[in-house]
Amino acid sequence: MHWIDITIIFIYLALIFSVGVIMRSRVNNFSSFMIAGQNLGLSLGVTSMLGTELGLITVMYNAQTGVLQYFSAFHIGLFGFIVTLAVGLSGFVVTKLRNMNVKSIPEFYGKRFGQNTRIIGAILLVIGGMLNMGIFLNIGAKFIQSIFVFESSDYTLKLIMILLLGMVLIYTMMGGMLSVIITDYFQFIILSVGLIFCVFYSIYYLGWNNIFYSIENISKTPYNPFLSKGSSYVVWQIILAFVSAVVWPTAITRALAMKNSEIVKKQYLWSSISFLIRFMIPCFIGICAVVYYQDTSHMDTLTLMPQYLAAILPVGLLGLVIAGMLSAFMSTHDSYLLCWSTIITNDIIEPIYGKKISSKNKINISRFIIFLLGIYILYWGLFYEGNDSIWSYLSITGAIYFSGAITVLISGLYWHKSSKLGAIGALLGGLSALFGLEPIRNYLSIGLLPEQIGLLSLFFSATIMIFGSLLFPDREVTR
Amino acid sequence: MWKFLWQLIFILGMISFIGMFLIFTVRGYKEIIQILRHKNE
Repeated sequence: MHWIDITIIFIYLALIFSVGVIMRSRVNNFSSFMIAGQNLGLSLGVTSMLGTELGLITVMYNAQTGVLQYFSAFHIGLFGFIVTLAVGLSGFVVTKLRNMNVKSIPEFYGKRFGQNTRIIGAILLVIGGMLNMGIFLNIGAKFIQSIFVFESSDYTLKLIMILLLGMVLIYTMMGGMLSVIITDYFQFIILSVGLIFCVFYSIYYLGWNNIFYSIENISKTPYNPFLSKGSSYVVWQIILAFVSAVVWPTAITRALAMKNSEIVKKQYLWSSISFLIRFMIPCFIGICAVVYYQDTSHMDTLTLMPQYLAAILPVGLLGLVIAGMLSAFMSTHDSYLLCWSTIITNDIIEPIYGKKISSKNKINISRFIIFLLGIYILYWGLFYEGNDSIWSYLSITGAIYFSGAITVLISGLYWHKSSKLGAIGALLGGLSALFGLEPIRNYLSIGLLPEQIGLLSLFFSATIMIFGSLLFPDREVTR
Repeated sequence: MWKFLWQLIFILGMISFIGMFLIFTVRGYKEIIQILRHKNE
Protein backbone atom coordinates (compact mmCIF):
# COMPACT_ATOMS: atom_id res chain seq x y z
CA MET A 1 0.00 0.00 0.00
CA HIS A 2 1.27 3.49 -0.88
CA TRP A 3 2.34 5.90 1.91
CA ILE A 4 -0.25 8.46 0.75
CA ASP A 5 -3.05 5.95 1.44
CA ILE A 6 -1.61 5.10 4.86
CA THR A 7 -1.31 8.83 5.76
CA ILE A 8 -4.95 9.46 4.80
CA ILE A 9 -6.07 6.53 6.99
CA PHE A 10 -4.06 7.70 10.03
CA ILE A 11 -5.19 11.34 9.74
CA TYR A 12 -8.79 10.29 9.50
CA LEU A 13 -8.63 7.90 12.46
CA ALA A 14 -6.92 10.61 14.55
CA LEU A 15 -9.74 13.02 13.66
CA ILE A 16 -12.43 10.57 14.74
CA PHE A 17 -10.62 9.83 18.02
CA SER A 18 -10.35 13.56 18.72
CA VAL A 19 -14.10 14.00 18.30
CA GLY A 20 -14.70 11.18 20.79
CA VAL A 21 -12.42 12.83 23.34
CA ILE A 22 -13.78 16.37 22.84
CA MET A 23 -17.42 15.33 23.10
CA ARG A 24 -16.87 13.44 26.35
CA SER A 25 -16.90 16.68 28.32
CA ARG A 26 -20.29 17.59 26.84
CA VAL A 27 -22.12 14.56 28.21
CA ASN A 28 -23.84 15.86 31.33
CA ASN A 29 -26.66 13.39 31.97
CA PHE A 30 -27.85 9.89 30.98
CA SER A 31 -30.40 11.22 28.47
CA SER A 32 -27.70 13.09 26.56
CA PHE A 33 -25.46 10.00 26.78
CA MET A 34 -28.19 7.68 25.43
CA ILE A 35 -30.28 9.76 23.02
CA ALA A 36 -28.56 13.18 22.80
CA GLY A 37 -31.22 14.80 25.02
CA GLN A 38 -33.92 14.19 22.33
CA ASN A 39 -32.81 17.41 20.65
CA LEU A 40 -31.58 16.39 17.21
CA GLY A 41 -32.49 18.25 14.02
CA LEU A 42 -33.37 16.65 10.68
CA SER A 43 -29.95 16.80 9.00
CA LEU A 44 -27.95 15.13 11.75
CA GLY A 45 -30.79 12.64 12.20
CA VAL A 46 -30.54 11.63 8.55
CA THR A 47 -26.71 11.50 8.44
CA SER A 48 -26.63 9.55 11.69
CA MET A 49 -29.20 7.04 10.44
CA LEU A 50 -27.09 6.41 7.35
CA GLY A 51 -23.84 6.45 9.36
CA THR A 52 -25.12 3.73 11.66
CA GLU A 53 -26.95 1.60 9.14
CA LEU A 54 -24.22 1.76 6.50
CA GLY A 55 -21.36 0.27 8.49
CA LEU A 56 -18.44 -1.84 7.35
CA ILE A 57 -20.39 -4.97 8.23
CA THR A 58 -23.30 -3.79 6.05
CA VAL A 59 -20.94 -3.13 3.16
CA MET A 60 -19.29 -6.54 3.58
CA TYR A 61 -22.45 -8.66 3.84
CA ASN A 62 -24.23 -6.78 1.07
CA ALA A 63 -21.22 -7.17 -1.20
CA GLN A 64 -21.31 -10.89 -0.36
CA THR A 65 -25.04 -10.94 -1.19
CA GLY A 66 -24.20 -9.32 -4.55
CA VAL A 67 -21.49 -11.94 -5.16
CA LEU A 68 -23.93 -14.78 -4.40
CA GLN A 69 -27.19 -13.45 -5.87
CA TYR A 70 -26.01 -10.91 -8.49
CA PHE A 71 -28.54 -8.23 -9.50
CA SER A 72 -31.49 -10.15 -8.07
CA ALA A 73 -30.21 -9.06 -4.63
CA PHE A 74 -31.31 -5.50 -5.49
CA HIS A 75 -34.83 -6.45 -4.35
CA ILE A 76 -33.57 -6.24 -0.73
CA GLY A 77 -32.67 -2.56 -1.23
CA LEU A 78 -35.92 -1.88 -3.09
CA PHE A 79 -37.97 -3.26 -0.18
CA GLY A 80 -35.86 -1.21 2.24
CA PHE A 81 -36.70 1.90 0.23
CA ILE A 82 -40.44 1.20 -0.10
CA VAL A 83 -40.95 0.22 3.53
CA THR A 84 -38.97 3.18 4.94
CA LEU A 85 -40.79 5.57 2.59
CA ALA A 86 -44.13 4.17 3.74
CA VAL A 87 -43.13 4.63 7.39
CA GLY A 88 -42.05 8.20 6.61
CA LEU A 89 -45.34 9.02 4.89
CA SER A 90 -47.60 7.40 7.48
CA GLY A 91 -45.53 7.75 10.66
CA PHE A 92 -46.47 4.12 11.40
CA VAL A 93 -45.12 3.11 14.86
CA VAL A 94 -42.33 5.73 14.94
CA THR A 95 -44.42 8.85 15.58
CA LYS A 96 -46.46 7.17 18.33
CA LEU A 97 -43.28 5.95 20.00
CA ARG A 98 -41.64 9.39 19.77
CA ASN A 99 -44.75 11.07 21.19
CA MET A 100 -44.59 8.77 24.22
CA ASN A 101 -41.15 10.25 25.02
CA VAL A 102 -39.60 6.83 25.67
CA LYS A 103 -35.87 6.27 25.30
CA SER A 104 -36.08 2.68 24.02
CA ILE A 105 -38.53 -0.03 22.92
CA PRO A 106 -38.27 -1.92 26.26
CA GLU A 107 -39.20 1.33 28.02
CA PHE A 108 -42.36 1.33 25.90
CA TYR A 109 -43.06 -2.28 26.98
CA GLY A 110 -42.76 -1.04 30.57
CA LYS A 111 -45.26 1.78 30.05
CA ARG A 112 -47.72 -0.39 28.17
CA PHE A 113 -47.37 -3.85 29.75
CA GLY A 114 -45.54 -3.34 33.05
CA GLN A 115 -42.00 -3.63 34.37
CA ASN A 116 -41.70 -7.45 34.03
CA THR A 117 -42.40 -7.25 30.30
CA ARG A 118 -39.87 -4.42 30.05
CA ILE A 119 -37.15 -6.53 31.68
CA ILE A 120 -37.92 -9.69 29.66
CA GLY A 121 -38.09 -7.66 26.44
CA ALA A 122 -34.79 -5.97 27.19
CA ILE A 123 -33.08 -9.30 28.02
CA LEU A 124 -34.27 -10.85 24.73
CA LEU A 125 -33.22 -7.73 22.85
CA VAL A 126 -29.76 -7.97 24.38
CA ILE A 127 -29.45 -11.72 23.60
CA GLY A 128 -30.47 -11.22 19.94
CA GLY A 129 -28.39 -8.08 19.57
CA MET A 130 -25.27 -9.54 21.14
CA LEU A 131 -25.42 -12.71 19.03
CA ASN A 132 -25.95 -10.41 16.06
CA MET A 133 -22.98 -8.15 16.66
CA GLY A 134 -20.79 -11.05 17.79
CA ILE A 135 -19.47 -11.59 14.28
CA PHE A 136 -18.88 -7.90 13.49
CA LEU A 137 -15.30 -7.97 14.72
CA ASN A 138 -14.45 -11.09 12.75
CA ILE A 139 -15.82 -9.56 9.54
CA GLY A 140 -14.03 -6.25 10.15
CA ALA A 141 -10.76 -8.10 10.63
CA LYS A 142 -11.30 -10.06 7.41
CA PHE A 143 -11.83 -6.79 5.54
CA ILE A 144 -8.59 -5.31 6.88
CA GLN A 145 -6.70 -8.53 6.24
CA SER A 146 -7.91 -8.71 2.63
CA ILE A 147 -7.51 -5.07 1.67
CA PHE A 148 -4.05 -4.72 3.23
CA VAL A 149 -3.14 -8.14 1.75
CA PHE A 150 -1.95 -9.60 5.07
CA GLU A 151 -1.14 -13.28 5.40
CA SER A 152 -4.30 -15.30 5.92
CA SER A 153 -3.11 -17.00 9.09
CA ASP A 154 -5.33 -17.28 12.18
CA TYR A 155 -2.71 -15.44 14.24
CA THR A 156 -2.91 -12.31 12.06
CA LEU A 157 -6.70 -12.33 12.14
CA LYS A 158 -6.77 -12.59 15.95
CA LEU A 159 -4.23 -9.79 16.32
CA ILE A 160 -6.25 -7.51 14.02
CA MET A 161 -9.42 -8.32 15.97
CA ILE A 162 -7.81 -7.34 19.27
CA LEU A 163 -6.40 -4.10 17.85
CA LEU A 164 -9.71 -3.09 16.25
CA LEU A 165 -11.63 -3.87 19.41
CA GLY A 166 -9.23 -1.88 21.57
CA MET A 167 -9.66 1.16 19.30
CA VAL A 168 -13.43 0.91 19.33
CA LEU A 169 -13.71 0.40 23.09
CA ILE A 170 -11.53 3.36 24.01
CA TYR A 171 -13.40 5.56 21.59
CA THR A 172 -16.92 4.42 22.54
CA MET A 173 -16.41 4.68 26.29
CA MET A 174 -15.24 8.28 25.87
CA GLY A 175 -18.31 9.82 24.26
CA GLY A 176 -22.07 9.26 24.33
CA MET A 177 -24.72 9.75 21.68
CA LEU A 178 -23.59 13.30 20.83
CA SER A 179 -20.15 11.99 20.00
CA VAL A 180 -21.66 9.15 17.96
CA ILE A 181 -23.91 11.57 16.05
CA ILE A 182 -21.00 13.84 15.11
CA THR A 183 -18.69 11.00 14.10
CA ASP A 184 -21.60 9.59 12.09
CA TYR A 185 -21.66 12.89 10.20
CA PHE A 186 -17.97 12.59 9.26
CA GLN A 187 -18.53 8.97 8.35
CA PHE A 188 -21.47 9.97 6.17
CA ILE A 189 -19.20 12.30 4.17
CA ILE A 190 -16.15 10.07 3.83
CA LEU A 191 -18.04 6.86 3.18
CA SER A 192 -20.43 8.50 0.72
CA VAL A 193 -17.56 10.02 -1.27
CA GLY A 194 -15.68 6.70 -1.16
CA LEU A 195 -18.65 4.62 -2.29
CA ILE A 196 -19.70 7.03 -5.04
CA PHE A 197 -16.14 7.00 -6.40
CA CYS A 198 -16.00 3.19 -6.13
CA VAL A 199 -19.17 2.87 -8.20
CA PHE A 200 -18.09 5.31 -10.93
CA TYR A 201 -14.55 3.95 -11.06
CA SER A 202 -15.85 0.36 -11.32
CA ILE A 203 -18.15 1.35 -14.19
CA TYR A 204 -15.26 3.21 -15.88
CA TYR A 205 -12.89 0.28 -15.30
CA LEU A 206 -15.19 -2.62 -16.26
CA GLY A 207 -17.71 -0.94 -18.60
CA TRP A 208 -21.46 -0.58 -17.87
CA ASN A 209 -22.67 -3.04 -20.53
CA ASN A 210 -19.82 -5.46 -19.87
CA ILE A 211 -20.86 -5.80 -16.22
CA PHE A 212 -24.33 -6.99 -17.24
CA TYR A 213 -23.16 -9.22 -20.12
CA SER A 214 -20.54 -10.89 -17.93
CA ILE A 215 -23.03 -11.68 -15.18
CA GLU A 216 -25.49 -13.04 -17.76
CA ASN A 217 -22.74 -15.43 -18.91
CA ILE A 218 -22.00 -16.53 -15.33
CA SER A 219 -25.58 -17.03 -14.08
CA LYS A 220 -28.83 -18.16 -15.68
CA THR A 221 -30.98 -16.23 -13.17
CA PRO A 222 -29.08 -13.04 -12.36
CA TYR A 223 -32.09 -10.69 -12.17
CA ASN A 224 -35.26 -12.41 -10.93
CA PRO A 225 -35.19 -12.90 -7.12
CA PHE A 226 -38.15 -15.30 -7.20
CA LEU A 227 -36.16 -17.65 -9.43
CA SER A 228 -32.78 -17.24 -7.73
CA LYS A 229 -33.90 -17.36 -4.08
CA GLY A 230 -37.57 -18.36 -3.93
CA SER A 231 -40.67 -16.61 -2.63
CA SER A 232 -40.15 -17.34 1.09
CA TYR A 233 -36.81 -15.53 0.93
CA VAL A 234 -38.39 -12.53 -0.84
CA VAL A 235 -41.20 -12.29 1.74
CA TRP A 236 -38.63 -12.58 4.53
CA GLN A 237 -36.80 -9.56 3.06
CA ILE A 238 -39.95 -7.40 3.39
CA ILE A 239 -40.11 -8.29 7.10
CA LEU A 240 -36.40 -7.52 7.46
CA ALA A 241 -36.85 -4.17 5.71
CA PHE A 242 -39.44 -3.15 8.30
CA VAL A 243 -37.28 -4.45 11.12
CA SER A 244 -34.17 -2.61 9.89
CA ALA A 245 -36.02 0.68 9.65
CA VAL A 246 -38.35 0.59 12.63
CA VAL A 247 -37.79 -2.22 15.12
CA TRP A 248 -34.01 -2.55 15.22
CA PRO A 249 -32.79 -0.69 18.35
CA THR A 250 -30.02 1.31 16.67
CA ALA A 251 -32.45 2.68 14.06
CA ILE A 252 -35.30 3.45 16.46
CA THR A 253 -32.86 5.13 18.87
CA ARG A 254 -32.11 7.61 16.08
CA ALA A 255 -35.83 8.31 15.69
CA LEU A 256 -36.30 8.71 19.46
CA ALA A 257 -33.42 11.19 19.57
CA MET A 258 -35.20 13.64 17.24
CA LYS A 259 -36.81 16.89 18.38
CA ASN A 260 -40.41 15.89 17.56
CA SER A 261 -42.52 13.38 15.64
CA GLU A 262 -42.88 15.59 12.51
CA ILE A 263 -39.09 15.63 12.12
CA VAL A 264 -39.09 11.84 12.67
CA LYS A 265 -41.38 11.43 9.65
CA LYS A 266 -39.12 13.66 7.52
CA GLN A 267 -36.11 11.70 8.78
CA TYR A 268 -37.67 8.47 7.50
CA LEU A 269 -38.67 10.02 4.17
CA TRP A 270 -35.05 11.00 3.48
CA SER A 271 -33.65 7.83 5.00
CA SER A 272 -35.60 5.75 2.46
CA ILE A 273 -32.82 6.70 0.01
CA SER A 274 -30.25 5.59 2.59
CA PHE A 275 -31.97 2.23 3.01
CA LEU A 276 -31.94 1.78 -0.78
CA ILE A 277 -28.31 2.57 -1.38
CA ARG A 278 -26.95 0.84 1.73
CA PHE A 279 -27.89 -2.41 -0.02
CA MET A 280 -27.54 -1.49 -3.65
CA ILE A 281 -24.08 0.11 -3.79
CA PRO A 282 -22.22 -2.65 -1.88
CA CYS A 283 -24.17 -5.27 -3.89
CA PHE A 284 -23.07 -3.57 -7.09
CA ILE A 285 -19.43 -3.48 -5.99
CA GLY A 286 -19.68 -7.20 -5.09
CA ILE A 287 -21.06 -7.90 -8.57
CA CYS A 288 -18.19 -5.90 -10.10
CA ALA A 289 -15.76 -8.06 -8.10
CA VAL A 290 -17.31 -11.17 -9.69
CA VAL A 291 -16.97 -9.62 -13.16
CA TYR A 292 -13.34 -8.70 -12.43
CA TYR A 293 -12.29 -12.17 -11.19
CA GLN A 294 -14.74 -14.16 -13.38
CA ASP A 295 -14.03 -17.56 -11.78
CA THR A 296 -14.78 -17.07 -8.06
CA SER A 297 -15.51 -20.69 -7.15
CA HIS A 298 -12.24 -21.07 -5.20
CA MET A 299 -12.45 -17.65 -3.49
CA ASP A 300 -14.01 -16.54 -0.19
CA THR A 301 -17.22 -14.69 -1.14
CA LEU A 302 -16.89 -12.43 1.89
CA THR A 303 -13.42 -11.12 1.09
CA LEU A 304 -13.93 -10.81 -2.66
CA MET A 305 -15.02 -7.16 -2.48
CA PRO A 306 -12.01 -5.85 -0.45
CA GLN A 307 -9.62 -7.86 -2.65
CA TYR A 308 -11.20 -6.32 -5.73
CA LEU A 309 -10.98 -2.77 -4.32
CA ALA A 310 -7.31 -3.28 -3.38
CA ALA A 311 -6.64 -4.49 -6.94
CA ILE A 312 -8.31 -1.70 -8.92
CA LEU A 313 -8.40 1.53 -6.89
CA PRO A 314 -5.68 4.12 -7.57
CA VAL A 315 -3.44 5.66 -4.89
CA GLY A 316 -5.28 8.17 -2.70
CA LEU A 317 -8.72 6.83 -3.51
CA LEU A 318 -7.87 3.49 -1.88
CA GLY A 319 -6.78 5.31 1.30
CA LEU A 320 -9.99 7.32 1.29
CA VAL A 321 -12.14 4.23 0.88
CA ILE A 322 -10.29 2.33 3.64
CA ALA A 323 -10.55 5.35 5.96
CA GLY A 324 -14.29 5.48 5.25
CA MET A 325 -14.68 1.74 5.86
CA LEU A 326 -12.67 1.85 9.11
CA SER A 327 -14.68 4.78 10.34
CA ALA A 328 -17.83 2.88 9.35
CA PHE A 329 -16.56 -0.05 11.39
CA MET A 330 -15.94 2.15 14.42
CA SER A 331 -19.15 4.10 14.09
CA THR A 332 -21.34 1.01 13.83
CA HIS A 333 -19.60 -0.53 16.81
CA ASP A 334 -19.90 2.54 18.98
CA SER A 335 -23.58 2.88 18.08
CA TYR A 336 -24.26 -0.76 18.85
CA LEU A 337 -22.19 -0.81 22.04
CA LEU A 338 -23.83 2.40 23.23
CA CYS A 339 -27.31 1.19 22.34
CA TRP A 340 -27.02 -2.21 24.05
CA SER A 341 -25.15 -0.98 27.11
CA THR A 342 -27.63 1.83 27.77
CA ILE A 343 -30.58 -0.53 27.29
CA ILE A 344 -29.04 -2.97 29.80
CA THR A 345 -28.60 -0.10 32.26
CA ASN A 346 -31.91 1.66 31.62
CA ASP A 347 -34.24 -1.30 31.04
CA ILE A 348 -32.73 -4.19 33.01
CA ILE A 349 -30.50 -2.98 35.84
CA GLU A 350 -32.54 0.04 36.98
CA PRO A 351 -35.96 -1.73 36.99
CA ILE A 352 -34.46 -4.76 38.82
CA TYR A 353 -32.70 -2.45 41.31
CA GLY A 354 -36.07 -0.85 41.98
CA LYS A 355 -34.77 2.65 42.74
CA LYS A 356 -33.77 5.55 40.54
CA ILE A 357 -30.06 5.47 39.73
CA SER A 358 -28.35 8.84 39.29
CA SER A 359 -27.35 9.91 35.75
CA LYS A 360 -23.67 9.84 36.61
CA ASN A 361 -23.86 6.28 37.94
CA LYS A 362 -25.89 5.14 34.95
CA ILE A 363 -23.26 6.52 32.58
CA ASN A 364 -20.50 4.76 34.54
CA ILE A 365 -22.44 1.48 34.60
CA SER A 366 -23.00 1.78 30.83
CA ARG A 367 -19.28 2.36 30.27
CA PHE A 368 -18.43 -0.72 32.32
CA ILE A 369 -20.95 -2.77 30.32
CA ILE A 370 -19.40 -1.50 27.08
CA PHE A 371 -16.10 -2.94 28.32
CA LEU A 372 -17.74 -6.31 29.18
CA LEU A 373 -19.49 -6.39 25.80
CA GLY A 374 -16.08 -5.83 24.18
CA ILE A 375 -14.70 -8.94 25.88
CA TYR A 376 -17.73 -10.92 24.76
CA ILE A 377 -17.38 -9.70 21.15
CA LEU A 378 -13.76 -10.82 21.09
CA TYR A 379 -14.70 -14.25 22.45
CA TRP A 380 -17.59 -14.74 20.01
CA GLY A 381 -15.54 -13.45 17.07
CA LEU A 382 -12.99 -16.18 17.74
CA PHE A 383 -15.54 -18.87 18.57
CA TYR A 384 -18.39 -18.88 15.99
CA GLU A 385 -17.83 -21.40 13.16
CA GLY A 386 -21.06 -21.27 11.10
CA ASN A 387 -20.94 -21.15 7.29
CA ASP A 388 -24.25 -19.35 6.62
CA SER A 389 -24.00 -16.19 4.54
CA ILE A 390 -23.53 -13.21 6.87
CA TRP A 391 -26.89 -11.74 5.92
CA SER A 392 -28.66 -15.01 6.85
CA TYR A 393 -26.79 -15.16 10.17
CA LEU A 394 -27.63 -11.55 11.04
CA SER A 395 -31.28 -11.90 10.10
CA ILE A 396 -31.82 -15.08 12.10
CA THR A 397 -30.02 -13.89 15.24
CA GLY A 398 -31.90 -10.59 14.98
CA ALA A 399 -35.13 -12.59 14.67
CA ILE A 400 -34.68 -13.86 18.25
CA TYR A 401 -35.49 -10.31 19.30
CA PHE A 402 -37.60 -8.88 16.53
CA SER A 403 -40.06 -11.79 15.98
CA GLY A 404 -41.55 -10.97 19.36
CA ALA A 405 -40.79 -7.25 19.23
CA ILE A 406 -42.72 -6.58 15.99
CA THR A 407 -45.82 -8.24 17.38
CA VAL A 408 -45.65 -6.64 20.82
CA LEU A 409 -44.79 -3.21 19.44
CA ILE A 410 -47.56 -3.07 16.84
CA SER A 411 -50.23 -4.67 19.00
CA GLY A 412 -49.19 -2.58 22.02
CA LEU A 413 -49.58 0.62 20.00
CA TYR A 414 -52.63 -0.23 17.88
CA TRP A 415 -54.62 -3.03 19.62
CA HIS A 416 -56.14 -2.07 22.95
CA LYS A 417 -56.94 -5.69 23.85
CA SER A 418 -53.30 -6.77 23.81
CA SER A 419 -52.39 -7.99 27.27
CA LYS A 420 -49.31 -8.39 29.43
CA LEU A 421 -49.35 -12.21 29.31
CA GLY A 422 -49.80 -12.19 25.55
CA ALA A 423 -46.85 -9.80 25.24
CA ILE A 424 -44.54 -11.89 27.45
CA GLY A 425 -45.53 -15.08 25.57
CA ALA A 426 -44.92 -13.39 22.20
CA LEU A 427 -41.52 -12.09 23.28
CA LEU A 428 -40.46 -15.55 24.51
CA GLY A 429 -41.89 -17.08 21.31
CA GLY A 430 -39.25 -15.13 19.41
CA LEU A 431 -36.63 -17.43 20.93
CA SER A 432 -37.86 -20.10 18.47
CA ALA A 433 -35.80 -18.24 15.83
CA LEU A 434 -32.73 -19.83 17.47
CA PHE A 435 -33.59 -22.98 15.47
CA GLY A 436 -32.57 -21.05 12.37
CA LEU A 437 -28.92 -20.82 13.40
CA GLU A 438 -26.78 -23.13 11.29
CA PRO A 439 -25.06 -25.07 14.12
CA ILE A 440 -28.47 -25.74 15.77
CA ARG A 441 -30.10 -26.64 12.44
CA ASN A 442 -27.34 -29.12 11.73
CA TYR A 443 -27.41 -30.58 15.25
CA LEU A 444 -31.18 -31.15 15.14
CA SER A 445 -31.16 -32.07 11.41
CA ILE A 446 -33.81 -29.45 10.57
CA GLY A 447 -34.44 -29.38 6.82
CA LEU A 448 -35.91 -25.86 6.66
CA LEU A 449 -34.12 -22.78 5.32
CA PRO A 450 -33.22 -19.93 7.77
CA GLU A 451 -35.79 -17.60 6.20
CA GLN A 452 -38.53 -20.23 6.52
CA ILE A 453 -37.70 -20.71 10.20
CA GLY A 454 -37.68 -16.90 10.64
CA LEU A 455 -41.16 -16.58 9.10
CA LEU A 456 -42.49 -19.46 11.21
CA SER A 457 -41.03 -17.85 14.32
CA LEU A 458 -42.75 -14.55 13.51
CA PHE A 459 -46.06 -16.33 12.90
CA PHE A 460 -45.61 -18.26 16.16
CA SER A 461 -45.05 -15.06 18.18
CA ALA A 462 -48.03 -13.30 16.58
CA THR A 463 -50.27 -16.29 17.32
CA ILE A 464 -49.20 -16.34 20.97
CA MET A 465 -49.85 -12.60 21.22
CA ILE A 466 -53.36 -12.85 19.80
CA PHE A 467 -54.51 -15.95 21.71
CA GLY A 468 -52.62 -14.98 24.88
CA SER A 469 -54.32 -11.58 24.92
CA LEU A 470 -57.78 -12.97 24.20
CA LEU A 471 -57.52 -15.81 26.73
CA PHE A 472 -55.70 -13.87 29.45
CA PRO A 473 -56.78 -10.21 29.18
CA ASP A 474 -55.41 -7.59 31.55
CA ARG A 475 -57.72 -6.73 34.42
CA GLU A 476 -57.20 -3.05 33.83
CA VAL A 477 -56.67 -2.01 30.22
CA THR A 478 -53.86 0.53 29.83
CA ARG A 479 -54.54 2.92 26.99
CA MET B 1 -38.05 -6.58 -17.48
CA TRP B 2 -36.11 -7.34 -14.25
CA LYS B 3 -32.87 -6.14 -15.84
CA PHE B 4 -34.42 -2.83 -16.90
CA LEU B 5 -36.03 -2.41 -13.45
CA TRP B 6 -32.70 -2.86 -11.61
CA GLN B 7 -30.85 -0.57 -14.02
CA LEU B 8 -33.49 2.14 -13.59
CA ILE B 9 -33.53 1.83 -9.79
CA PHE B 10 -29.75 1.84 -9.64
CA ILE B 11 -29.40 5.01 -11.74
CA LEU B 12 -32.24 6.85 -9.93
CA GLY B 13 -30.89 5.69 -6.57
CA MET B 14 -27.41 7.02 -7.35
CA ILE B 15 -28.76 10.39 -8.51
CA SER B 16 -30.92 10.71 -5.36
CA PHE B 17 -28.03 9.68 -3.15
CA ILE B 18 -25.67 12.26 -4.64
CA GLY B 19 -28.32 14.96 -4.18
CA MET B 20 -28.95 13.85 -0.61
CA PHE B 21 -25.22 13.79 0.08
CA LEU B 22 -24.80 17.41 -1.09
CA ILE B 23 -27.83 18.70 0.83
CA PHE B 24 -27.09 17.02 4.16
CA THR B 25 -23.35 17.66 4.12
CA VAL B 26 -24.08 21.41 4.19
CA ARG B 27 -27.11 21.31 6.52
CA GLY B 28 -25.47 18.80 8.87
CA TYR B 29 -22.43 21.04 9.24
CA LYS B 30 -24.67 23.96 10.20
CA GLU B 31 -26.47 21.83 12.79
CA ILE B 32 -23.19 20.67 14.35
CA ILE B 33 -22.04 24.28 14.68
CA GLN B 34 -25.38 25.15 16.33
CA ILE B 35 -25.05 22.25 18.78
CA LEU B 36 -21.48 23.19 19.71
CA ARG B 37 -22.45 26.88 20.21
CA HIS B 38 -25.49 25.91 22.26
CA LYS B 39 -23.38 23.61 24.47
CA ASN B 40 -20.77 26.30 24.97
CA GLU B 41 -23.33 28.83 26.21
